[in-house]
Amino acid sequence: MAADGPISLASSAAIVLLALLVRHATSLHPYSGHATPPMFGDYEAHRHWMEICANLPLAQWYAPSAHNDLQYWGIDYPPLSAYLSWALGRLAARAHPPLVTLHASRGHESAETKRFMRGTVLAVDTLVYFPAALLLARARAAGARTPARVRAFALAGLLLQPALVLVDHGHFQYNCVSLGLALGAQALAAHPRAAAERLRPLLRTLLPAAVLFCLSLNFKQMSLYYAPAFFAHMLGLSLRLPGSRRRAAAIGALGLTVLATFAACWLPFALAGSEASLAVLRRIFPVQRHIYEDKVANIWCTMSVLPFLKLRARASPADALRLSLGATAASLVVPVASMVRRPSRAAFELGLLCSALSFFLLSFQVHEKHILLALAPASALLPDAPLLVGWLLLVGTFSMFPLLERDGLGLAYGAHVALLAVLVAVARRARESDGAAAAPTARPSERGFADEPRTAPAACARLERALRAAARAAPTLCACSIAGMGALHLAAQLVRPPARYPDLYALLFCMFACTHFCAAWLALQAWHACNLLGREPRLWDEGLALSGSPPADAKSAARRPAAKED
Amino acid sequence: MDIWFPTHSMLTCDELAIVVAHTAIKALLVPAYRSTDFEVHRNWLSLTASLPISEWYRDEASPWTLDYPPLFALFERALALVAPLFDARMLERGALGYASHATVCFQRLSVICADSLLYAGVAAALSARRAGRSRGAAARARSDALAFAFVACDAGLLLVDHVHFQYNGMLLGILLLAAAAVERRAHRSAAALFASLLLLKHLFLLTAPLFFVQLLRAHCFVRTPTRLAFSPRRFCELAAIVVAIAAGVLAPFAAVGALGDMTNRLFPFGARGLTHSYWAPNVWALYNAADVAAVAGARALCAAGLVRRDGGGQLARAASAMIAHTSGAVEPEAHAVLPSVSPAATAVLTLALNAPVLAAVWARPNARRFREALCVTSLAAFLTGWHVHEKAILTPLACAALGALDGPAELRAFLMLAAPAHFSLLPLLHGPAEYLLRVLIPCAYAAGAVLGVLLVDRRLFAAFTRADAFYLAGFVPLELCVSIVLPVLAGARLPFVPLMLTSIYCAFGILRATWLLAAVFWLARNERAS
Repeated sequence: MAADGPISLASSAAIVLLALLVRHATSLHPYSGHATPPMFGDYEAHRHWMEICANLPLAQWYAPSAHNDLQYWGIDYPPLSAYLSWALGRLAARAHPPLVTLHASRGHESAETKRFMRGTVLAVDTLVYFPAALLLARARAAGARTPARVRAFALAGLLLQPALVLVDHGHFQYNCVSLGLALGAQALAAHPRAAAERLRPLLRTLLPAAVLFCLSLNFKQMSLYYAPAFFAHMLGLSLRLPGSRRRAAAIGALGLTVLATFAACWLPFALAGSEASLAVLRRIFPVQRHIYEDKVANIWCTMSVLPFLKLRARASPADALRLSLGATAASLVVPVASMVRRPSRAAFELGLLCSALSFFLLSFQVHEKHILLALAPASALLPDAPLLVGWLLLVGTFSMFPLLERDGLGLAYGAHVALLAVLVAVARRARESDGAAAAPTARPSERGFADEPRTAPAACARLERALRAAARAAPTLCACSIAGMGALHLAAQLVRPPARYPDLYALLFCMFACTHFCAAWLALQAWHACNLLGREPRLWDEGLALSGSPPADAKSAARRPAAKED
Repeated sequence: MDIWFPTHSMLTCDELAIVVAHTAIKALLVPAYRSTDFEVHRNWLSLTASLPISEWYRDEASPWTLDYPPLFALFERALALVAPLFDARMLERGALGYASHATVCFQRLSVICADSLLYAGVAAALSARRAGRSRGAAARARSDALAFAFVACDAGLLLVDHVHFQYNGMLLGILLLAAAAVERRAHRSAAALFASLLLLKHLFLLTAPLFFVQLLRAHCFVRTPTRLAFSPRRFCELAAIVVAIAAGVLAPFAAVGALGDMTNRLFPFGARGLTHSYWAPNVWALYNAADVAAVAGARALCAAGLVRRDGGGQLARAASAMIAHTSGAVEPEAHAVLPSVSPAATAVLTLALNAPVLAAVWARPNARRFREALCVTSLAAFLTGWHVHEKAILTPLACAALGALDGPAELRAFLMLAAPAHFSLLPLLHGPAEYLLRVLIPCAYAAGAVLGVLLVDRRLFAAFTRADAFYLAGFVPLELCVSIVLPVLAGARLPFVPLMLTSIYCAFGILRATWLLAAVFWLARNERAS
């Protein structure tokens, strides 16, 4: 492959090592709930799961019992999470027995065990998320005009994205596993050759992707945020096959793969009796909880500033559940239809992002950390739209600031934001000097469809114009937005909130971020509407001419591609 | 021409991006492992804040007594003015070992801020070199940014200053500012900067002969149509600057009669041995190793009955004293077989090695070649000096990095120096908790350096040979051996063997790199001459 030259190799190595260094350095900072009894935080939750899974039989992991008090951090993720906790718990029982002794280990904290726990996150991150990121960066570079650049910056975006590092290695969680599996699935399913109109090549890429995605779903149920996109993209590709028998075969094979993967994941619980499986379901879909937790940068939480729209107070959980499900489903109609009707790599990439944002903004029982699900597929788009993507990553990290500050991660947050700023600046410059500003990511011929419509309805043209205008205004808007975030940070440091509203700043941070997520989501809806109507617009004109720096001098522009593409 | 403005140390956009990213990584490292040097500097803060000047060099409340020159003490005093904003308790005399979160943040932040002098120094040195070169603007900008990253983001500096905890970045920055002033022929600024540097850390005395010769020749001698004429006026001018600065800093100490105490603290000859407890990878490490090997050989001969037993017993005692030395104690050691070396002998050797370079500088005081001369002379001092610390390699390394992109030979010399230099610093991070940092920091630097060179011009790699590759590849088994195999196999029985292996392997590498750098220096001179 053209992108495998020494530069690609060196840049991948440098980015991977830098990402490891940044992760390890972040992990030296405090974790959530450090030295705050009686409940501690997510670190204690994961330690407790290791304790439960390593000591109790599988049937009791999710069920209340004398040894398993579900009120104290009962496990609430699907079986694969529990298996990981079991494996790590067994490891801990050998390496640091006090860390996982039943009951006695509650609230166990020491420098040594912190190192062990941090090490487990770094290990699974390196084993799951890093390969997925490498795979996705490589897949994204295939067919690009400047593969080395796309590959390097897609990888850098995926690996240096601040929000994930701060939550996994600072706050303490294992999101890297479910996100890594989902991104790996995306890398396989979005491969341009998957559009080949033959059954076997298609299934060869889609079936492994389906397996990976089901594993991701079975690690954290939040991967459901991606399900509509995966479903629509795979269905759309299957329907492209010539002949109804081939289509049926593709859909049937995919369905069977999904069922088989789920069955494999749940088999131990099924063997332990139906009660065990039901206990898992009750724990992972907490419908009795309410529509969002704490302060979340989504529509329901933002609406709650108006007293008559405060769903948590005015609607029962059941009503709120129905309302949020309906709203989420309605918001997914356009992107799903667009991906089914005209599947393409770009539609899939933006569909994942759009679907995750829809769920984050509108669905039930959303946490502030769920924005990670939207940020992961977005970060792979860094080489195509450095400013827009960097901006989204920044706002996503900003929306979690109240949480991170509570964990004592303010310094790490600042450092990561600075790193992100540098990364975006470098990505923008590289894009300009490669003369890629005006070029689409993939050549039209790579998209593999013969039936590109030459004409599109007028509505489509209007939408496209609006998108382009918005993208051209992006640098200005971004500057204003950064100023706004800075002002909010300053105010939060300098001005005490009134006693009546202790959470004032957390709410303001969320609302500020929510407006950005809504804008991004609207733009994505418009993009998919265009795609549905018959033309794939480009979201990538982000007003580079307005940024003040003209494309680098002709000499370096002429030599650079030669140096980069072997 | 002579007046030297700090505007030369302005950063370009690329350099600014590097500085921001580098600072972010330093900020992430704030809670990382820190050595006793952290407590040393905290003690100095508290000592200078709460005692009268006369007591600064006399106080022994903490084992970490003040042994840096007076300007550094005054720097600590200035920091102590800001410290109460973070945590006033760190300044209390009784607070030995005090390290609250605010104290850690303050002290780490002071190093991070002091590094701005490093950035200024590197930028000034690069801009001094830039003047008068004729290369394409874009290529030059990229290669300058890379050279900036080579020096400013050096893995060794990050490790020593921001993990281990010291202020080397600041001191190196001032040295580079002085060197840049020499290159710009701003001799008065150079004299002032170098005088201040000596008052901050007297270790830089080792580079003083070169500065003296260069300034004397280039500033105090004027070429008349017939001959070189010594200009007493110009000499007095420089002397006045140096004396004024020294007097200004020393006066408060002289006024309270503390100069004697200060000298005793700054130059504790006799109390220190030829090598530091961990042998810095220089000639003396090889000398010590040869001695140990000779003892081992003699004992083998005894065991075989070829030599009388009495001599063997004596040898074994001497060898075990030497080995005890490598595992921590700071005391003079005696060699068992080879003759012992005196401080005067090392000084003579260092001067002898430096003499040809000094003579060359005297013959042709080319400002453009000053940095290379600085690199070679400081490397010679590192290799043959008395009681050299492994951290002293940072100075020649920075000088080599500045010119690394001038050509393939320069790049090869720099990278072949950087690899053993960085590896030899790793024993500073010895605990299992620091293992990841120990691996990741130098590896990330190396990968970044290779990527940078590929992006600038891959032809720069042309000078590398197969022997270089073998030497570099040797670090992998060496690391496995010293970090995994030996600790597992030998456990606590042979704590000195990994350190000894590291010193010896790195000493060979640094000797070889010295040869390469000397070749760069002399060949470049001859090219210019012809």
